[in-house]
Amino acid sequence: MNKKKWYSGMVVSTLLLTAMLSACGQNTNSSSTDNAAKTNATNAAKASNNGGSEEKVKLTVAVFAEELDFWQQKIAEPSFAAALPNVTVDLQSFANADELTKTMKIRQAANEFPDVTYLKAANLIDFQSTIAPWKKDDVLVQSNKFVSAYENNKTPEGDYYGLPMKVMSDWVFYRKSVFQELGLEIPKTWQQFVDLSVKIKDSGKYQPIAMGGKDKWPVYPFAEWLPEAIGKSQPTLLSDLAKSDQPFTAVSPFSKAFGKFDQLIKADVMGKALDTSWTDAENMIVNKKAAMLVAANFFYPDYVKLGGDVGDLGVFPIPDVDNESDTITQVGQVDLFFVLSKKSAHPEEARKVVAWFMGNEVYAPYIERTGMVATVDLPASGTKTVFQEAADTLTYKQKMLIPGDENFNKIRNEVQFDTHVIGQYMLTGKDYQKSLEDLNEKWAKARKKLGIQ
Amino acid sequence: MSYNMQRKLIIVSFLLIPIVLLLMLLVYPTLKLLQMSFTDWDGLTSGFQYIGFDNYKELLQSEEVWVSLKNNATYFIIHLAFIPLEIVVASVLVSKLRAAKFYKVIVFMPYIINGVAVAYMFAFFFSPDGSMNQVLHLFGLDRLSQSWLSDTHVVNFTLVFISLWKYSGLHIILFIAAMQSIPADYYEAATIDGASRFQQLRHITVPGIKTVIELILFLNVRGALQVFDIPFLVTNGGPGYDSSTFMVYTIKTAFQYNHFGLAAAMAVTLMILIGIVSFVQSKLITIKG
Repeated sequence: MNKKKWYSGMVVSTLLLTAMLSACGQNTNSSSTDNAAKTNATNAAKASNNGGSEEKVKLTVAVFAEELDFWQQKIAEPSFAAALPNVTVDLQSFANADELTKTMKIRQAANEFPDVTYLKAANLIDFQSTIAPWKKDDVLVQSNKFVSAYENNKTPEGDYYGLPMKVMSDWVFYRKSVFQELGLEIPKTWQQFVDLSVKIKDSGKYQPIAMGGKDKWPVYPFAEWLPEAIGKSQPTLLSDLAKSDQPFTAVSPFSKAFGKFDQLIKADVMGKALDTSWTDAENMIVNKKAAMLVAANFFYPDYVKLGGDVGDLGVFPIPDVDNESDTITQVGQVDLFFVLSKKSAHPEEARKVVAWFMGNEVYAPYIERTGMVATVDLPASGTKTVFQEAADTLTYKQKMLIPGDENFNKIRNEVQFDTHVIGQYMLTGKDYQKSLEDLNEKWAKARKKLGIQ
Repeated sequence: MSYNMQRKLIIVSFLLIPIVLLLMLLVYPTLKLLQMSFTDWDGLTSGFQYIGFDNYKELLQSEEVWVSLKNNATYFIIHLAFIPLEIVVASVLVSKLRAAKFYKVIVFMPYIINGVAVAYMFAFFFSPDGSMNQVLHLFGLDRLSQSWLSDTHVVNFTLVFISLWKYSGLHIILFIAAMQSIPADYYEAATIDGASRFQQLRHITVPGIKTVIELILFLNVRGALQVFDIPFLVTNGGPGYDSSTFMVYTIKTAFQYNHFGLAAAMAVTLMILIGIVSFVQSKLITIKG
């Protein structure tokens, strides 16, 4: 009997709670409906006042923290209100590409993807199911010079997952005055580059190369892009890795590139690289404590911001070749893509935000500020950038770094392939050949496990 | 409605919400984690396949996992070795020491400082031109200067030092709180009987704070195996994976390599490891009065 009472008590209390909770739910719903109705009414009133009929929409746009001020400033300008009178933008900023990607993965799982976001080339493949592709006949696509550089940016229907927003290339940034003082010339081969670095070291006045090895990623020009330059005959080097059980043999581009990097490490021309962060390395060349820094275009605005002498800065491509008669290959990559969400409630407005951004009024100052290469034709400005100067005077050809395909990504994730880790280990004195041998072994196992032929 | 019925109704209705929350926020995610650990879910797609114990086998065979666990062991052992010292410091601070309150504040301060600030502070302190090497230089001890954060043989000890600096204060304050609950009569009686300060510590203080010592020992296991903020912020697990810990590696596995299944298996393993190490520790370390 007692037990029966207990059970009935349980049932009654559960019912009571359910009723209470559902009542709360109804209240919330009705109030949100009321709010929505009120908002619509207000919007309608506003729209009729403005003589238009468009409803107010709010879009979320994910950007990098370092660009937040630029976006805020441009959105506040009249051109934005003129182009998108009914749109307000909620800017969400992220410290760097890693943070952005990590958050987007969580957002994707939670169905909270922003209306517009940046994505790195290598990550496009991870977000295919969430991306609203750019139509091939869209004027923004047709005017973009880099949209078809990436085969894996294409959907089966021939549309594009991402709209290339800016392009960067690898450069050796150097202080012209140091080169003049020591009587140095721009190197044309790898050996000349090493010799030149040793000469700077021997002068005892400057550190030859500033390397932010503490942060791991700054090793990428040597550990990630140099293999691409050396493997110039393979346009899809990364995807090709997935086709072999032993892709890191002694004759592979990776092995050759690491060999070259090793030569530089053994020449001891990068100071205490593992104790130097990227910011430290930047300051070293700005303050002329170091003569060179190897990075992509993104370093240039930092150099300017940190007060570096712009007239004293020169650039040349990394000399990946062994003979002067060979042409240097410079590696380039679309740094960021504009991506739209498939789940966006306002896809047309989201597209318009990108169109507004890619317009001359916003895009031209953006490109000037970032030092990157534009993906659309811009009106010629009077002054030549340091990169244009190099392009006019030096001989080299460009290769676009194409991210790996699905098979490559699967194997990379399985063996946790990260050339930056190998590069950073090399700075500690670890033998890269051993790392590559281990990698070969893991690679073959992973291919077998994943059934990749 | 009878009194008994009302009583039960109140108990049930009061308990329902916390139980539902517990099921929703703790039990369900844990079961989901367990389920995920048997799948190959990449965290991106909605589909996954069950792959049995493959993730667990893989993590046992992973070199990086073992390197990370070895680093966790360094944290565990050194922190464990410092617990007796923390008890001694607590017993000094609880005695009638001049300006004891001030010292207590000093000791506890590192724990309340923001972890990110601590990480950056020590990143500067241990940088090649940082204060540590400067101090050594000042005392003519240049030969002891090190690359504190980039030498693979030294980096983990540097990070453990930071961890000790940050967390010892918490341990000491907990010990002090426990010591204050021991009646003063015990010490008076012991003094009359001629017991030395050390004998008092050994036979009155330590047994008197047994519960807190057990708690700290457990927190040490948990803390050492889950250490994340310090290595992540100071070295990001580098150089390479040499200062990586189990948690740092788990996060990389999940978010950098889209291996959520494996990362879930690592999280489950971590829970089991904490249980095992705590159990073994409690069997090995027994405190008698």
